[in-house]
Amino acid sequence: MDLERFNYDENDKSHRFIRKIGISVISLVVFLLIWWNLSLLLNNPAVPTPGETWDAMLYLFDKGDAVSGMTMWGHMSISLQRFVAGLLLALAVAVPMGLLLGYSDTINEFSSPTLEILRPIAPIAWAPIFLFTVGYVWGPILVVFVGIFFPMLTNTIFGVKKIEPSWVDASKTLGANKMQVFTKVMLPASVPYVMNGLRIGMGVGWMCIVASELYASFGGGVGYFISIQAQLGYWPNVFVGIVIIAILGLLTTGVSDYAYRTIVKRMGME
Amino acid sequence: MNWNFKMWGAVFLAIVILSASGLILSQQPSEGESVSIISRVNNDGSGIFVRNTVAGDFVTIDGETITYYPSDWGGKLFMTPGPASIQHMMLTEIVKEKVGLKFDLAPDNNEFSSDTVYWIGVPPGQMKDVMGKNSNIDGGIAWEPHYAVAIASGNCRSILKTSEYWEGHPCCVVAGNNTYLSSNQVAVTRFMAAYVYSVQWMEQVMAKDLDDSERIDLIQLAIDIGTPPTSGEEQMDPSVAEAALNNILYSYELGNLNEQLADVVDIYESLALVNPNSRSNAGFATPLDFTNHLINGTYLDSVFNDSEHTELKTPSEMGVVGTGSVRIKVAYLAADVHQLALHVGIAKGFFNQYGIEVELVGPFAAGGAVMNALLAGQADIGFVGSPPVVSSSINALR
Repeated sequence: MDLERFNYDENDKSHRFIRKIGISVISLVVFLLIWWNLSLLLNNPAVPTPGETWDAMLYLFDKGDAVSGMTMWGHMSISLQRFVAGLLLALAVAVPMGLLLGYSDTINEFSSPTLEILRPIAPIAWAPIFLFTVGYVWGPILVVFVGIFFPMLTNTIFGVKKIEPSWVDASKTLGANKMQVFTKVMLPASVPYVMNGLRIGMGVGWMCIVASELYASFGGGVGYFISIQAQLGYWPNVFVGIVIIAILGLLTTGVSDYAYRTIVKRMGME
Repeated sequence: MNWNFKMWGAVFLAIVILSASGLILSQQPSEGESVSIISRVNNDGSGIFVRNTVAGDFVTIDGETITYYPSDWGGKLFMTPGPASIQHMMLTEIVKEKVGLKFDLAPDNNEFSSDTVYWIGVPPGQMKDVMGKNSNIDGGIAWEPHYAVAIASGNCRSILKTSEYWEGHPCCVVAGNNTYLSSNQVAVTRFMAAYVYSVQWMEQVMAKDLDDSERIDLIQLAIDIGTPPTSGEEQMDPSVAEAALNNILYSYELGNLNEQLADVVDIYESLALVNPNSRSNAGFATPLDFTNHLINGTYLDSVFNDSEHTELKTPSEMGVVGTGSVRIKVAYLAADVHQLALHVGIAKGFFNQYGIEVELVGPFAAGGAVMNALLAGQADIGFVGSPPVVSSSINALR
């Protein structure tokens, strides 16, 4: 057998890809084996084996969740809808606000005390208040909004403040008015920072949606699914919910990572 | 040998070791934490109500025949104490089996279909509040005193008492963590003796006149226990508490609980609320085999001098001497007068007389949480609905 043929070549794209996939698969196999051993060692029904979780997952996707009458697709769809609504709301509020606060020192100084009081509060702490005040539709969405809003706001402000003064001076020299400086220089230059805020915020947003759904009793969602399955002591189903959150979180942060890298690359800011 | 080779060798070795240890561990007998039911607490004691503004009869009762009207039920939204409760299970069965409609979690878009009855989980102590703030909610099923409170509010009317649907149905039980039970048998037996004494005392007091001071005290205790501590509402009227207590059959006797809970297992398995294969995989051929295993009557038997359970042992007969006492952590449900005898025993000092100091753990909003506290060892004994014991115990089988 010609072993030379299998020599790894760092410069070969397909070799790098195969290596990456191989390492990921081995890493997951080790993770599953550790999980399996841990479950058997603890011998606690609240920590099911990967096999029990897999069986439960197949059942839930095939037959659905008998308690809520919803399929897992239904729960995932509800959580995603709430997540996206909170994300869009955060984008719509945090980006213009961040640009304004980054642009105007006076407005920034005026709003800083209030924002600094609100910023350290864990978004999840708002969950019961939002659910009770604005209801079960907007409550979880607002919790996600708070989770994404602050990372996005602070990154946008930071992005505007990091703009090279020479860019602003050059545009002014070329005859740009204040509005043009804002829209043609500051706005595009801050996009990578906004995307970075989005990337961080999305991770926080997933924690928020699941936590707020633990309280919500209307409409379902992955968080609520976990909550009711825990009440029944149906632990493999609880783990299915956890696995689904992990997958959805991985997918959404993966998408935002990709978008961030693409934008940064296109804008020549690598 | 380069570093890469060493690392991958170590990874390969780890995979082999973990696989081997997993295979060996999976062959070992599985004996995780489990619970046993050691006494009944009550039968019956819940009811279904709707807003007065909601039209329709829903059901009519003629002797032993109940007629259901699907058109009245379709598209309605009911509160339940949560999927692990006997109330939720009974409403599920009524809607699916008797009314013939689907029973689904309420959507958040208010799009209700007439072929479905919807539910949301609300702790019974909060049902009145939640109903007042959400006009989409048509009714609920609650344990006492919240069923009586809803009717007495003047805003709701009764559809059906659960005793009318299933007379003498099982409800709350006393369950114990098996590790604790087996290593503290004397303390558990004394606890049971004090509990039986509390129930007997309540039975005697409830037979007295309404103006008897002990009966007034008992009703006041029911009011205190039945009012959620955070509600900020006025306490219920004594007549409401009387109505609530009269809807409950307090009993410690296990009787035919094994057969009743076998029916609950059947219902849970048919509704897929528990893993349908767990019981048979664990070696229990029939639901009755499983419930016989789940119920342990030895503690209750040992607190009586006779097999007919007519003569309760006194503290001295139980070997209680001096003032020393054993502390037992007891989990309980919030605002639930089904469990009133526990609070009577504490308030009247009956547990102390039997050498037991009760440390209350909770209150918990739902039975599933009490079960989780028991299985986690946070509580030694729990007062809990029998369905959560059944569902958690079946789901804990491996």
